[in-house]
Amino acid sequence: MDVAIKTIGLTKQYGSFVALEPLNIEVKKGEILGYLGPNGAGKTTTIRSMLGLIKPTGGRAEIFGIDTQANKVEAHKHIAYIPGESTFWPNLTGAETLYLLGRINGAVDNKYMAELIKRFQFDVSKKVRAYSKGNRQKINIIAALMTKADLLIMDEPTTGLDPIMEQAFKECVMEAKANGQTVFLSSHILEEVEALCDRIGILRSGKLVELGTLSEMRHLAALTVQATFENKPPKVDHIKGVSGIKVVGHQLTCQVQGSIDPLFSALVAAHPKTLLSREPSLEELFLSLYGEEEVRNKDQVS
Amino acid sequence: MSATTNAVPSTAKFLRSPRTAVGRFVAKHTARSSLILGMILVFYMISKASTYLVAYPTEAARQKIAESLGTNVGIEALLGAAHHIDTVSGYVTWNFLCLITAVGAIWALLITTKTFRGEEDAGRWELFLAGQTTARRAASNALAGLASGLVIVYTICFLGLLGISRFNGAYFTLSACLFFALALTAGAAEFMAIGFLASQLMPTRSRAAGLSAVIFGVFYMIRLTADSTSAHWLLNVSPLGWIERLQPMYNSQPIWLLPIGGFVLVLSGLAIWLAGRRDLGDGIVADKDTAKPHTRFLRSPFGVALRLNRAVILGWLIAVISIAYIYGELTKSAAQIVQSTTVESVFSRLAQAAHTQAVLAFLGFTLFFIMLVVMFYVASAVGRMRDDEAKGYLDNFLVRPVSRNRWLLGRIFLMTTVVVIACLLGGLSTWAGEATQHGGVTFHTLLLAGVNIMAPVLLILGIGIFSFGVMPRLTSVITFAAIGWSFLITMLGSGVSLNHWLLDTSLFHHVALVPAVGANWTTSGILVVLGLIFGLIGVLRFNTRDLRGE
Ligand SMILES: Nc1ncnc2c1ncn2[C@@H]1O[C@H](COP(=O)(O)OP(=O)(O)OP(=O)(O)O)[C@@H](O)[C@H]1O
Ligand SMILES: [Mg+2]
Repeated sequence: MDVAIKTIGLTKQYGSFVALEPLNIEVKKGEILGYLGPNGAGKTTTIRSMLGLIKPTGGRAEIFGIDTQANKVEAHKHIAYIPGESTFWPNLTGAETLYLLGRINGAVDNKYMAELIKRFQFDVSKKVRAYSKGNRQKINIIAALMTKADLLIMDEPTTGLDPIMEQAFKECVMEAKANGQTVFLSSHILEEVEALCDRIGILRSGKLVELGTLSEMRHLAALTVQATFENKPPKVDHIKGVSGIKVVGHQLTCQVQGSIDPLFSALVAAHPKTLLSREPSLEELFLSLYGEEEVRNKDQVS
Repeated sequence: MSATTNAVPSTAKFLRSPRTAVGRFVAKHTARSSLILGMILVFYMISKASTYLVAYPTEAARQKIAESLGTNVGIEALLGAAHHIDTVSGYVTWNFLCLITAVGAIWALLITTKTFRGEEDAGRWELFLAGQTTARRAASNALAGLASGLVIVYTICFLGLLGISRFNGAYFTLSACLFFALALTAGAAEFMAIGFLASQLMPTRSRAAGLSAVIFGVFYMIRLTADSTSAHWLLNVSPLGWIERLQPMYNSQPIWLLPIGGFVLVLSGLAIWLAGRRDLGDGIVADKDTAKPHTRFLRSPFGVALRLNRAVILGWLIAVISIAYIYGELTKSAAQIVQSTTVESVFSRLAQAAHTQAVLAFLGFTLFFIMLVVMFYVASAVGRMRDDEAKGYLDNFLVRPVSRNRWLLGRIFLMTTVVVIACLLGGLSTWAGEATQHGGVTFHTLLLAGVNIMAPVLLILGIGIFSFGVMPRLTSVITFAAIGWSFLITMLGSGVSLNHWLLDTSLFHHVALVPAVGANWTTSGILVVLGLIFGLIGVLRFNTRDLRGE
């Protein structure tokens, strides 16, 4: 079986509000899929429906071919889940909590657990209520990684972690990938997603609007061009495909979609001091998608 | 999206004068429950008074009921000593004072610990304390907010009494009503102060509530012993006894307001002072923050439930054992007083038997009371189970290879086991207490009486699971309401005839008060089957519904 996750028309409605429109997505075994979207887009809803914590109003999800609604327990044997935050029993210590979660899970790699505890500098002797937010999140991370499950589902896993721990987390995910584990990673930290993910899905208002590799998406998106001049920059707003023009002093920044020839000719003709063009970062891609949304909202209001 | 900006005016309102924001926030949240409590109390008072007036219109009739009721130690243990119950004033005092005091006290300790510790545990206090206020000011502010709830209850009670005084045959003066309403709310005031202090002392809400409940239990037991034995002086020791000493309506003793008021003031002052001395989210009685791992129970969801609930379960079992034992001990002296009179009214109606041996009648009443306590355990246990879902503990299991049934059935098994043990212990301890006084009722009889009260409790459990599956957010409310309703109807129905359809809706109406009467195993069987059906629907619904947060 080389498909780890498969959703078939997975839908969730709360009353008449559609939190997740029919979602069809396939994640291959060994792949890391980034799952992005603005607040309230439906990422957590997707994950909780896949896990069977909430009941989808339509469609279904399969984990390694096992239906997650009909056969939750079997499906969960393949899954480790890292929520963005969770409530642990305040009176149990970190060690007790990890022991308990391991027992419930069944198989645990104890050596790896000890290594994880060391790597994340986690003090297991404290009671849960005495942990700081980031330290509490480490329980989630360690408990999930120590199972070496076939599929890791993560919903903002690094909430509250400091940059060093975030780095440690990234390394662990790389290791998991090297192990052949599959990862479904929902996150707002785009730099993390950019560094780790093979493919990226972008969700907006419950609809999957983009799905592909980063380079595929870049082709769709605009190129950023930046040029500085001795004097005032030339006017470029009449050129086809150019948008987002910003002029600061003698510097001009803009985006261009489609052919870049006309823009380049115009800029070169004005004798630029420097001329820079680069592919958009994931952040810029993401922001451009947000931008569209904002424009759409404005249209609706007026 | 633009609509949501209009939906947050309350913030602005609270920000207007930040110094009293906490008080207003608490007052707003207390007002609703104060209103509901007040309404229930008034409904009870008015129905009780009017049925008395209708059922016993003449002096002679009142004299007769007074004779039969006034010498019944079992009823006195519950309602306090009976004085002048051949008059309307005496009768309502006797019927209202202890019962309403107890209900008000429990309400007060729950709402107080919820407001002080619950809000803090949930992290909502931080929002206020980060603003322009200090811990002490916030605490005294919140206390003022709670006190405003008390004023609401007082006002409603007062208006209710005023309403009763308009009935034909009842002539309460205005000052009597004012004073009686004060006596009725004094218990709530005392336990607000106790709950407030406990909230400062204990590190979590449940422990603060637990401590307050234990204090209530002790005070109640002292009061109970004072009223049902010759040790009447004990009334002076219990703050609940002081309220009885007020003797409103027939022989008012306002002097007893002094210790009550002093008690409330001293405890509140102490608590406010302590509020400034402790850290947010911690109690004066601090807990160790580190511990050696103990993994014996931590192998399954059931084991976790057992470990985390064992102290609470033990507490309930001890409560059942001590109540049963004390009542058991009282049996003989109770019976001696009652011997010559026929036991009528309250529990002859409960027992559905007019003439029965005094000892057995008293024991029937005892077991009824124990049943009530076990029912309260069930309602609180079901509530805690729902809390596990609401707070998100359940997620930790369900995202792993644990089925919903495994978790839920484990909890049901645990609760059922506790119910069975508690009922048996109830019967056994009653026997033990009674045996020390050589009351002469056999072990076998009381064990059977313990078995007899299981069925109605299991029905309550079934109702709890049903509401958990179908309307999870109302789990506690529905379960407690089922008990409360039955209690209300039964109390109203005692002494007077009530529409039998209405009586039938009370679960207690279907409980045979063994050993006062013979057990009715057919009815018990029906109750258990009903409980099973309710429970089954709950389990099935839980399996297909969404998990719901708070
Ligand atoms: N129980 C619920 N009842 C009603 N609506 C809900 C419920 N849970 C979620 N929603 C709505 O569904 C939508 C999707 O929520 P979801 O939590 O999946 O967003 P998200 O993409 O995870 O956002 P975030 O990035 O903030 O975590 C939101 O608009 C939310 O308000
Ligand atoms: Mg989310």
